[in-house]
Amino acid sequence: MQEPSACLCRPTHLGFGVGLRTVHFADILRTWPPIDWLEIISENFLDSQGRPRYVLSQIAERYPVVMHGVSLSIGSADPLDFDYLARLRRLADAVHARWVSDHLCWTGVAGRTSHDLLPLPLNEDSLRHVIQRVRIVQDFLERPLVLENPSSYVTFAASTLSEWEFISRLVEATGCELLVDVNNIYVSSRNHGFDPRDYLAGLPAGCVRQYHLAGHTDLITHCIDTHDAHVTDAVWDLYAQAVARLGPAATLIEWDARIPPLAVVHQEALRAQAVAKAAADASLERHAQPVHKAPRPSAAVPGASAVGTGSTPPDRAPLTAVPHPAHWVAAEADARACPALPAAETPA
Amino acid sequence: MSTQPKAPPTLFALQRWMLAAITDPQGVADALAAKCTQQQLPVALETLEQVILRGPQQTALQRLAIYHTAYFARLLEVLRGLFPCLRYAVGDEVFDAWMVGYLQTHPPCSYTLARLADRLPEYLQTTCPAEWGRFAVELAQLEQAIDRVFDGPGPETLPPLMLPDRLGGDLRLRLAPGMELHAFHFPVSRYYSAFRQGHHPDWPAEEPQWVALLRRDYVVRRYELAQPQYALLKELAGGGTLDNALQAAVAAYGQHVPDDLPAQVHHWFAFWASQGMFVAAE
Repeated sequence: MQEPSACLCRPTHLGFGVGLRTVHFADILRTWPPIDWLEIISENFLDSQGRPRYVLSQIAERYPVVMHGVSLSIGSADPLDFDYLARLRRLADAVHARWVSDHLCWTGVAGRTSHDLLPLPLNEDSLRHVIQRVRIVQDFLERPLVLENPSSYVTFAASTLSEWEFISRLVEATGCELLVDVNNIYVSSRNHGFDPRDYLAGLPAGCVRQYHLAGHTDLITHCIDTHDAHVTDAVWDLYAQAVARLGPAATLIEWDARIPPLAVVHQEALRAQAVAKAAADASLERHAQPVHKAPRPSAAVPGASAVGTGSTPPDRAPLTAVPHPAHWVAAEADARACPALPAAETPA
Repeated sequence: MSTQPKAPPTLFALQRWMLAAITDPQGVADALAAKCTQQQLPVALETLEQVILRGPQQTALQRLAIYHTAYFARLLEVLRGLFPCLRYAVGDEVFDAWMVGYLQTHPPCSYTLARLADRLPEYLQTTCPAEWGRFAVELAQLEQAIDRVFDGPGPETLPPLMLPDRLGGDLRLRLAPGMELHAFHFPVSRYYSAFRQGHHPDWPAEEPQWVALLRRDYVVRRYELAQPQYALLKELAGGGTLDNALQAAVAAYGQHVPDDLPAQVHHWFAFWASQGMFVAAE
């Protein structure tokens, strides 16, 4: 097992970033806040020739940008969409994307799409299928693909591998890298009844390019990955364990619904920085259990037993908790809808 | 009668089955019994756990239903965001019913949600009640056009065009990239403005309206036009000469061509040029 590095400054460790969201465009352009890096939802910019693309160009001149997609559908039985891949590659080149990531999932089949991150049956057949497609995508994009573990709400009778086994073998076979979404591990652990520490223990160290952190909605019987709240204490604990076990890596806060001001999201990223530093220091100093030294005390017990700790409680949960990705980012209202209607110049 | 699956399903069959189950507006339970779902995987509600495992605290059906709920909630959220004025005009209940019908008829097939509503006006044209139809369709067309102009090609990187003092009749003026001209049977642009300003406009009576949409500095501008102005710009947009365009404007006046039309036209062009409607003169 590779020991985690104490250094948070590896070439690919961009620091602690936030997801670029439309509601923050104006704030970013006005204040250029000291955020380490920004992650975009690739599909929101692939075809844009208007303000979103213009804003992204401005931002890419000042911040490292990472592209995170939701439509690659690497696990679909449909053929790969090379037009989509070509667009991805063009955008990645244009904004000097540090890397391109997507999810270990499928989003559609037979020419239709769900715009959701749907789970795969995890077995030898699907592993072979995904390995083959990851290799093709990496060849096409001419860069390693970074894949994220999705949240999931069902498991299939046809599965014979755990998700961490599947991912480990995929990494070994393809050399792809990992975007470890710590919140997704937690959400899936609650939904499927595994210990998230087993998940972390089963992932290969040294392959983690990035971490994701986000809030979720706890509905007691299950959790939904809603990205609409602060990171929960249980997930902070799990993040500390992930850093201790897998090593530090660029970390990003995702917030996609009920999005607060940028300063709040940034503050969450700074908390991640403190948690990661404490975890890395503790791991190096003692080579022992990764104690979480979070800036704020946590009473949460990490793991599947940590029910309802800090996430959106059911009484405040939206009527319909919608899993990420609701990745449509509506245009800024003022820009889309004309701030003023110029007077019509009518003939006499 | 459903039978139990005989062997582990292929990935293709399993995915087609799951997609059919979670996108059926009748709900997952009904979807499982539906012919199209059964064709993919002959599994009944009672045998669902042979495909989807029960969770720690949820049945297989409840787990699968999460994706069903998410599918419609997410896409409705997107459509509400794309058509806020249409939603206001017809009300939430009707809007959602229309959109669910639309999604059933034209399920999403693009990698981007920006293409989700591409066929909505066409769908509404064929399905809307007659008394609501044309206004709703035109409102949808306007909102869709605003989005198209907002994120499509624009003139921002082009240098401003200074019109010559004297405009020759054989001059061809190229309109700004992405600029659109629309002729409506209802005053949808005025209605849209009232909605955007926070008013609560009533459904308008039929009244023709001509509108130009132009993006400048990445903001979409709407210009309500008189019919002769629309006819003139439409002719220019089609590649016609200035003479052709003026003839089109005169024709739009019919019997009542104003005496001071040349002065008016001069005024129009000065205003339109100041707004950046033209990018080249040839």
